[in-house]
Amino acid sequence: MARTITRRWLDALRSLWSRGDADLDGLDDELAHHMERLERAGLACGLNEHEARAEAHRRFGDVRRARRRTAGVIRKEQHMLKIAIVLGGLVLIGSPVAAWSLALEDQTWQKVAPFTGVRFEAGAVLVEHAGDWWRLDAIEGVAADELYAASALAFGPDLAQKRMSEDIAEVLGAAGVEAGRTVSMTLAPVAGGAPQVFGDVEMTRDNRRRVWADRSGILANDARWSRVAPYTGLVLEGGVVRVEHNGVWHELLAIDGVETPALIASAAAAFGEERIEKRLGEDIAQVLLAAGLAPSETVTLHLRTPAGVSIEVTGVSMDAEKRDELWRSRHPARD
Amino acid sequence: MPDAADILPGTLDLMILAVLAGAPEHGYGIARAIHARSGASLLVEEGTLYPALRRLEKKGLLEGAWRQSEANRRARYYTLSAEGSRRLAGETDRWKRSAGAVERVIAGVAPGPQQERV
Repeated sequence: MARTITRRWLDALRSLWSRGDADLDGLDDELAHHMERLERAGLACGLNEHEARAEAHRRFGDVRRARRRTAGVIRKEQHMLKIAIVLGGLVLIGSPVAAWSLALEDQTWQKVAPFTGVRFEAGAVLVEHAGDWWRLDAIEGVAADELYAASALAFGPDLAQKRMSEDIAEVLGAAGVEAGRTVSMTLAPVAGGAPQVFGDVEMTRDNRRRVWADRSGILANDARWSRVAPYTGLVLEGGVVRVEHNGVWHELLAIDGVETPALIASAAAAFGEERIEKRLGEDIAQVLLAAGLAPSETVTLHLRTPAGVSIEVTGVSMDAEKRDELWRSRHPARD
Repeated sequence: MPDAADILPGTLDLMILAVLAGAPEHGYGIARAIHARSGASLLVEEGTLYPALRRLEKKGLLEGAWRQSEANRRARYYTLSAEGSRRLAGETDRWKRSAGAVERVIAGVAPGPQQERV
């Protein structure tokens, strides 16, 4: 019985590896088909062969880069399947400890970074590398704005900055690049100057920890931002959050586009499952940061009014007075 | 013909889904459809379609299958899945709301009655 299971497991692995090669061969056919059609279109327009080929390359872009990125997407999918099959097999043949170690290794691999700090300023992404701050132009040839767009697309615009800072390996994957243990980064001096390519920059867990600490520190060290709120009261009942705004209680649907369930999840992730109501009320600034939003003096509240109408209230100030009022309403005995 | 514009980040996936709502198509056909439907106003580096197509396929929004193309060559055709249709409807709605809001801001039109300034 055990031998049969083991054989099936090995067959599955073999089949998956063979399929991987076939998928990549298929990709070459797919790209070749596209280039051939572009060239034929050029010839039909009266271009000569050389011109038609040049025009095809101009319209398609870098074929090798397209292949590398697409192959990255395919390989990532296969990697996940392989891990699942290997884990399943190890558990079946009685090596749960080995399976656990492998799962842990795979999970922790994503929590790495090639830089030690990230800032988003004036449309540019700044990163800290080797003790200096640089403008990030590209990682593995993928432009910073493309990475940002991939992050926004894969994880939502509200989490784009957080994911790009703390989960760059996943963002690269979303952009179709399979990050290795090292990456190349194209960085330009913040003060201006020609970009430089730093090859073989190590992706380490320690770097990523420093990025996380740096981002958390922005808020923790800024008391002006950390002790403010956009509403004067908050209650959480059965997953529904109600907030007091201008003296009227509304159902809270979202803050700056982050929907209430995501706010609750962020509060739980940042502070633990207990006292979520307190965190959404008194520590909403930290919750918003944990949700990936940058500190801001105003927010947009998406509310449902008592009449059941959904409204967006823009430019709601985050201020200390509102938070104090909220705090007093929650702690009447201490008032 | 106006100058072609780069596509806005994050909109390529939506355009792919929209093109495939009509009929299954291969990468070259999708590129041509985007070009034609935009009135040749959008500049898509066609190689960027392929990572996006595979990523959408991986998410279950598209299904890919090899067939003979109209040029009698083997080509990979992509079809919108049921999940892809649902995503297209949702993303189209979201896009229209966002684009309308940006348009109003650019045009300087006052917010509607549902909006409140504080």
